[in-house]
Amino acid sequence: MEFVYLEHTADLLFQAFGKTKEGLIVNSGRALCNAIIDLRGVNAGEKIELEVKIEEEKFEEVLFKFLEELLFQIETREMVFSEFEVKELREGYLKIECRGEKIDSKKHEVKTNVKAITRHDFRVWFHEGKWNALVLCDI
Amino acid sequence: MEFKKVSEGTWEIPKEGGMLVPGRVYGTEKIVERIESGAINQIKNVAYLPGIQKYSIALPDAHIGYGFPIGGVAGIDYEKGVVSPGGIGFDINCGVRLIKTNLELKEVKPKVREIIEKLFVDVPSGLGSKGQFRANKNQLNEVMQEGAKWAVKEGFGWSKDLEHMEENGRIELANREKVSEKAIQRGMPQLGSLGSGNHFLEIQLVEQLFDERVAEKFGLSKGQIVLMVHTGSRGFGHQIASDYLGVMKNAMNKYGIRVPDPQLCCAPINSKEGKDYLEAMYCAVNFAFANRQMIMHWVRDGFSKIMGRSAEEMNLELLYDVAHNIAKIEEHNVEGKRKKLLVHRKGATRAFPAGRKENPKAYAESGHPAIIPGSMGTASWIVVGTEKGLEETFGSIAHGAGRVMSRHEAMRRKKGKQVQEDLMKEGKLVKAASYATLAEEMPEAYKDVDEVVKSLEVSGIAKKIARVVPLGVVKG
Repeated sequence: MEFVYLEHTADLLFQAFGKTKEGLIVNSGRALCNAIIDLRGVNAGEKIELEVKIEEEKFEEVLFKFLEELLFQIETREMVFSEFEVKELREGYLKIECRGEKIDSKKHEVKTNVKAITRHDFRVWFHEGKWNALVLCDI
Repeated sequence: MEFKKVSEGTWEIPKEGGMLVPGRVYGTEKIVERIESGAINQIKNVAYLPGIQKYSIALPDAHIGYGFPIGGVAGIDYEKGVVSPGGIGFDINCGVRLIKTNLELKEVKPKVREIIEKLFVDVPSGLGSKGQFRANKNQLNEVMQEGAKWAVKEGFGWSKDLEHMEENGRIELANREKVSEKAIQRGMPQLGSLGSGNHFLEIQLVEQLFDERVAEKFGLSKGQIVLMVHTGSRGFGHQIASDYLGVMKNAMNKYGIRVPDPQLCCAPINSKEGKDYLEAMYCAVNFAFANRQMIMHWVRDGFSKIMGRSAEEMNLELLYDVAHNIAKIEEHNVEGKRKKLLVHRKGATRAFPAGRKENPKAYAESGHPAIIPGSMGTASWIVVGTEKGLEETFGSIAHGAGRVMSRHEAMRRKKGKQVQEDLMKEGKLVKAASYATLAEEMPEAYKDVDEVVKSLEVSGIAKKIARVVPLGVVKG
């Protein structure tokens, strides 16, 4: 399983998984995008490259910043992304290719508008051979 | 229930652990029984904030938020206390305004569908909705500083509208130098758009009056048609909130502040971080005032075209505009002394009775109208604040109904199309950009707004003036 949406009264809560840290980043990105638009209808025809560069070295901070940056790109480019490929990941740094297309409400089923990634219960952990991330988004 | 009853509709959570003040919860028994334990913890956590005065307050629509419960209020000592972005929220100055008309049901009912269809086209709504007007950087710079005043200068609405807005639609402390480039990029295409989620436009009917004298002062009458606009600062505000939550997170250690929940991150109001956040936050406040002013202009325009009469002829006057995610610098009585406070209202509305300098001249004797929008398909309310409310909650009341059901649960119960059909059977037309939103926003997903407003009255912190019901709804 790549990700699952969990119950929450007011907002969007998801748990993403990955065998590797790179896998977790990819599935977290997909979880966010799929919450906004059903990715089954998205053609990964256009690509952009995102870079996250932060002073904090913890992996969870890189993941958090990636999701914030991804949301920013979704809104300002009016694109949604269904495929991701990590080009480089090290302490405090991520380079990732994101592939998708322009949002077209006639073609894409619009599900939810995400306002922000929050730190409410945000955590990243490794358990039984899998990386996990719990992320709550304000919607 | 871990609350101690203080009086009818008023409950206390006693101080424990590091709480600096007790919690104060407003609601009938029916309401408080259903407050989630997570929200109760949040009420307790807010009581840890340095400089908090009197109580950590929760209003009857309280439910879980980030750090603060939604429906949460904290008055913080301005000189010695902290500012916490979680106490304002991501949708800075999400708020609501009511526009009056001189029309009655029989004139408007045959045209509701046409009006809704027109407004759906004229006012952008839905995911990433962009304005029909795209602001350039210079214009956004002006909006950040001038708020609704800029909008009126550009021809959106009437200059007298400004007198009927909280803060006259503009907070001077805004400083655009404190706003990130990212926020500006998100804001430029979204100025003049409704957004989605629980934002809406509604055509409503004044169904019942509860205080004829005050209703007359407000220009409200039974059977009158009114229009409501509910929206906020869009991606612009969301980005500012995200930016400064990051700044505050890093500032906590610097100032030696400890809070039980990282989402309550804060900084002293008088610190660089605190000042910078306030100045940026007020830019978002001004953006939202401008946004609602622009949308009202298009609503007036669209409504006029369908009704075949001008906005002036139909007296499409602004009743009032209130914010419900904001922090305001206000003076209040605390233990017999007048104190300058930063009042955080997170999903809470200001409701000042007569006698406050902040009230516009037109409402000096009555107090200003406080608008409580219901959720989709349910009633909304106009109430007025009381002296008791001023004393106990810094003049703050509920902002809406508050959710009780998760969006997943709502979508499991009914499809969006079914929700639309059910509302139509009740005579309420709904037009939305997304059926998924309709399902998520179904009336059953929210608390009973009548019970929320009853709670305000029973506890004495507000008085009912009018109940309005929707005839037509436009949702993002």
